[in-house]
Amino acid sequence: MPRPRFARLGLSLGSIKPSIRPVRTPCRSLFTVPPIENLEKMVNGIPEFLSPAAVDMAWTQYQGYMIERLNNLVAGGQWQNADVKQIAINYARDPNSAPIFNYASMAHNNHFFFEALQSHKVPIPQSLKTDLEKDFSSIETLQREMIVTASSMFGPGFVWLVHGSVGNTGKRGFRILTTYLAGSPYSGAHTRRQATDMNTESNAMGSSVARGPPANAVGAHGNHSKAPGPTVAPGGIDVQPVLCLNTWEHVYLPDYGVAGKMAYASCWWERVNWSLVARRLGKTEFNQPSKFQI
Amino acid sequence: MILRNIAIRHGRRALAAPLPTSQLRSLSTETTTLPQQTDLLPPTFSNQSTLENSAESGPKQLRITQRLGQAKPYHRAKKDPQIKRDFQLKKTIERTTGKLGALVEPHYEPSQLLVDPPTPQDVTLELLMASQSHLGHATSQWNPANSRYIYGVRQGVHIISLEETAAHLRRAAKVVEGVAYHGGLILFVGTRKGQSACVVRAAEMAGGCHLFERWLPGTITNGDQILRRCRMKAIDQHDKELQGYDDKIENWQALKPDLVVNLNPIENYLLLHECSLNNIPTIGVIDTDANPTWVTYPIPANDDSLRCMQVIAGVLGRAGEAGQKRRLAAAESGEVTWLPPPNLGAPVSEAEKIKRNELKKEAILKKRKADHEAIEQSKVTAAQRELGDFDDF
Repeated sequence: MPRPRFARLGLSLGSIKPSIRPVRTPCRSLFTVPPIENLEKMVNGIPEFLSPAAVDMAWTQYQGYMIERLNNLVAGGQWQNADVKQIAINYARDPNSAPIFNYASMAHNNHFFFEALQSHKVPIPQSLKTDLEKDFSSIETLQREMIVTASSMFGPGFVWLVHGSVGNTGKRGFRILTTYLAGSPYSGAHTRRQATDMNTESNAMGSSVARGPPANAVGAHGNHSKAPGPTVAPGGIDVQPVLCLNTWEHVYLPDYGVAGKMAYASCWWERVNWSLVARRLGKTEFNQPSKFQI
Repeated sequence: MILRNIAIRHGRRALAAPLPTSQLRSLSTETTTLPQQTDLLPPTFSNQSTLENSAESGPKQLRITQRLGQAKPYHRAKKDPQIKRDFQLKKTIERTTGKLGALVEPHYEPSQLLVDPPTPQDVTLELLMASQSHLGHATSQWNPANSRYIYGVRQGVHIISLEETAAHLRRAAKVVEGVAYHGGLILFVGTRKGQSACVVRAAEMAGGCHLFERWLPGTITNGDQILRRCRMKAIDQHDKELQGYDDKIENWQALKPDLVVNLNPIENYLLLHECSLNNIPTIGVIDTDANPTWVTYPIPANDDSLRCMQVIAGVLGRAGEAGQKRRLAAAESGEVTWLPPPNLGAPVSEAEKIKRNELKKEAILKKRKADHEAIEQSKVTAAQRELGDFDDF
């Protein structure tokens, strides 16, 4: 039985129509591959970063595959018309529905990655540059940190640049976050953040206890015992992802080979769409006020 | 009850400020524990003991006065800037990342029919069919007067032709838009269970009135009685309230709608009858068991489906909204698309009112003086006549 091959997306937007489809009950596809702003990415690849074949595999084929698997799992249920991010956050705490979370989160993260790519080098807007330098001392440091983090991750995952609360200081700033496999950086899906490789973590009781909050209540009451900073309700927003790097092997394998992750990350840095990153932070070039003025 | 947008509700006014003690009546003499606020109320009851410590003294022990006396002037809670920042952050994250992952195909979301109703341009046969507008009643319940709207029979049920529904709905939308453009008052009526939300939304969009509870018979024919508590206001071409019409409005007749849209004419025969007596055009959703002659512009559709009613009410509300927008745009450019009532006249300014009051006072005094003089004169003539009588002798 030949493996089903998906047709290239080409210049048409909308659903993917595979030429050979395995026999299954006819149902309309609830999710379809979303369009990307710069269509030439799809046809010509991203110069000096990803070839057309790599983009075809990492975006067209892979995203279509994730969406098809997700369709099969949620069709007919109450989540069939929900947004992919909502599905991921809902199923993050249900281990019996782990595949649904995996496909939804992977589709979301992959789109997040591809959306912030540009076919030429984009300069960092000054306001964003100032804010980044506050937390990372320089842009070169941030670049080095992200590339080294990606290199040191063993196995597939994502490297995120997020804006949120830093530790218990109550201050907010940028930090780098890793998620293995299809882990999600959002607060609502924190049970599936998968920020560390559990296989390399110590299994000892002491280390797992030390990682969590203190068990006893000594010092937990009274005016001076609360941790400084605003109290965040469970599930409250304290993480805003603004940029991510996809370190799954199938993305860099066609162009860079098995040993080319570092080179791939370096080339990625030159093709980040920094104006989109600024827009994600709620900053625009002309510093327009927020739409919601209370 | 027809409710104007700015009808005063007396209950709301009563709770806005604390009632003055002069209006409190003693309803109960039970003794209860005293909350702090009612200590501020002075005991002014004439039929109660004024001793401070007496168990029956003053209004403090009255349960009703405790509740009413606690009403404090309404003030906004202090705005926490952190809440505003958190909300804006949440909205930014939602906007920038909420839709990433896949394109969700267009689907039916029940709440969207109220949040974002379809426009007359969005009316398609597919939409009407998906909203079950073609499902009529059992053939035994048929009213033969609407046979022209029926496509056929399936499983013992009449099927309403989708083309008829679409055509009649578009015509009704034109009527609603035209009435709104010419400054007419549109009343949306839907008295069945579950129709309240779409009726209110449609009235809100079209700038009209809504009714989702039982129509009170006589609201149009006996409006001066039933609608006497409804406030009226005079507005200019830009929908701004005008001052100087208070006296005229006090004595004005109760308003009648210029167009009535009814989602369930079978249950509202009286309303439609009153409209016909007063030459008010009506639009109604006519099912296979309804009489199409009851309304001026029938819309053949399934009135038992809430989704279908939400679509129709939404379309007509959108049409009204478009008409209002066009009317206000015309007013901006100097063109007024409607005429005021003939007896309204010009507004009366404050200075004019004072002058008129002065003239009235003068007239009253003059009349009083004249009456007084007439009385005096009649007394004098009566006395003279008496004297004259004596002279005769």
